[in-house]
Amino acid sequence: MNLKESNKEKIEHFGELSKIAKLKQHFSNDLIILYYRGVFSDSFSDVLVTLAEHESHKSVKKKLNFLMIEVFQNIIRHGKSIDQENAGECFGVRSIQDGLYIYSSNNISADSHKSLLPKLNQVNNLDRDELKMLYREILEGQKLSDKGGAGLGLIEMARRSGNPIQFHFENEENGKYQFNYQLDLSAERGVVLDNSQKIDIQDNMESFGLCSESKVLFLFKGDFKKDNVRSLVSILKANTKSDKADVEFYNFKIFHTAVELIQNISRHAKNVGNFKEGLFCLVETPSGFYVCTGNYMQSGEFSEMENHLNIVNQYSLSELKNVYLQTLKMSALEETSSAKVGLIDVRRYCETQIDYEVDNKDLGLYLSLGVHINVK
Amino acid sequence: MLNNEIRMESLGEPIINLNSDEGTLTIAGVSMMENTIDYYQDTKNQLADYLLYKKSPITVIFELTYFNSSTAKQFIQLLSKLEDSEKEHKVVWKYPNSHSVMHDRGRELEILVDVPFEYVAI
Repeated sequence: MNLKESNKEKIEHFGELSKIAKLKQHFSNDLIILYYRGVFSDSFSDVLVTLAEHESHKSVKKKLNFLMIEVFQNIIRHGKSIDQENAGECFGVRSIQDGLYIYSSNNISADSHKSLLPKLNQVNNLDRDELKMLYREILEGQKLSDKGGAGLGLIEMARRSGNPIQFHFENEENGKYQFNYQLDLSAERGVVLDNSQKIDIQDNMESFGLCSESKVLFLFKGDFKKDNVRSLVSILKANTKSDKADVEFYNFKIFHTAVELIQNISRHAKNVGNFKEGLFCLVETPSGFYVCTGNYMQSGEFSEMENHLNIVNQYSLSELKNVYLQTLKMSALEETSSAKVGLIDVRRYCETQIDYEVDNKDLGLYLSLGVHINVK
Repeated sequence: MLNNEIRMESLGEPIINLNSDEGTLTIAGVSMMENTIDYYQDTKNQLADYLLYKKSPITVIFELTYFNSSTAKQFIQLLSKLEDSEKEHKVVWKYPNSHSVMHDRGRELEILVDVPFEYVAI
């Protein structure tokens, strides 16, 4: 690649980092944000539950886990099969101040719309005791439908969340409907969310719509103190499959990039409050995928990191192997975990620049890193 | 048979086994932990003890489908312990057949340590 091409690529992909910066700003008050628009399969519900765990809502952990799994599995049950094109399904979780919000959007048939609408209205007009009674009546007297529900799921979601189910149907040109719904629950056990604490579903439709417009497949902002690498890379692996001839190299490149960038967060992120705040984002691009991370830097570390990034980006691809070997050999003399070759590895396998951006925010310097992974 | 797939259920930690009787140290699976220094400390200590008390050479067998950069550093530190000995230690680097990256990553480690490597595609 000549210099002109290299610069062009850098500018093109730097735009991705700016787009993600807008999303970060949009979700800046969120303690946790999970957005998922990829392959929907049962194996991911547990992964997403793990990522949503946090000290601040541990008293409602069981309830949150149950509701997340229920909502996620509803998408699998009523959505497309995984080999079909994405038909607008998305799943989201937000933790903001005292509230937790689970959001889902998927395409349904006109018949499903006709069946769902009265059930939702019915469930939302009943109080706690009435919901319990209805649940028992249905359980005792009615067979389950072939799709696995007879309104029981909706009743359980309303009961457990302690709040009406927010919903909105969008009528589409093809006669189908986009079904958006949201569960609201308090982050503290036994506390009821009042209306002023709730996010209107329209706000979340707009927020998650921004993610979708930006071609985000997966976005996670949360705690990187615990070892989230496995959860994140398993999501990445399932959503970046390729039929390329050199599939082993391609899989390795994506896997390795994700591991190194995520561990870079765990290693360098500054604690915000009682947790290590970080962000991981996977974006579709016309020629592949863009992987992005973000975190607050520990004080005094930024200059060293910026210097390291500039140096790594300056090397030509042919120089990177020797740089890798020399750096690894030198680092082996030090008694630390970091080998200082993670970003060198990312650059030499992805054969692209590592984009970075620094924002001076209230809590300190925030570093965003981004790497494009070419599929074509 | 070594599977090409990077298997997530392996928790990202390799299986390590030092067999003093056979003179082998086997490191197998996936190694992608963040805190590798703690994870490999026992292995480094055991290897140092082996080299101190055993008269026979040791074969270090790698059977990995993935390792991160932090692990690469631990491997260099581990294999460096074999360099000063007069015994004929060696490394057997097993890699998934057709997985050229894992083969190349073995070659790169070989450049950095003065220990002979044998390559076995599985």
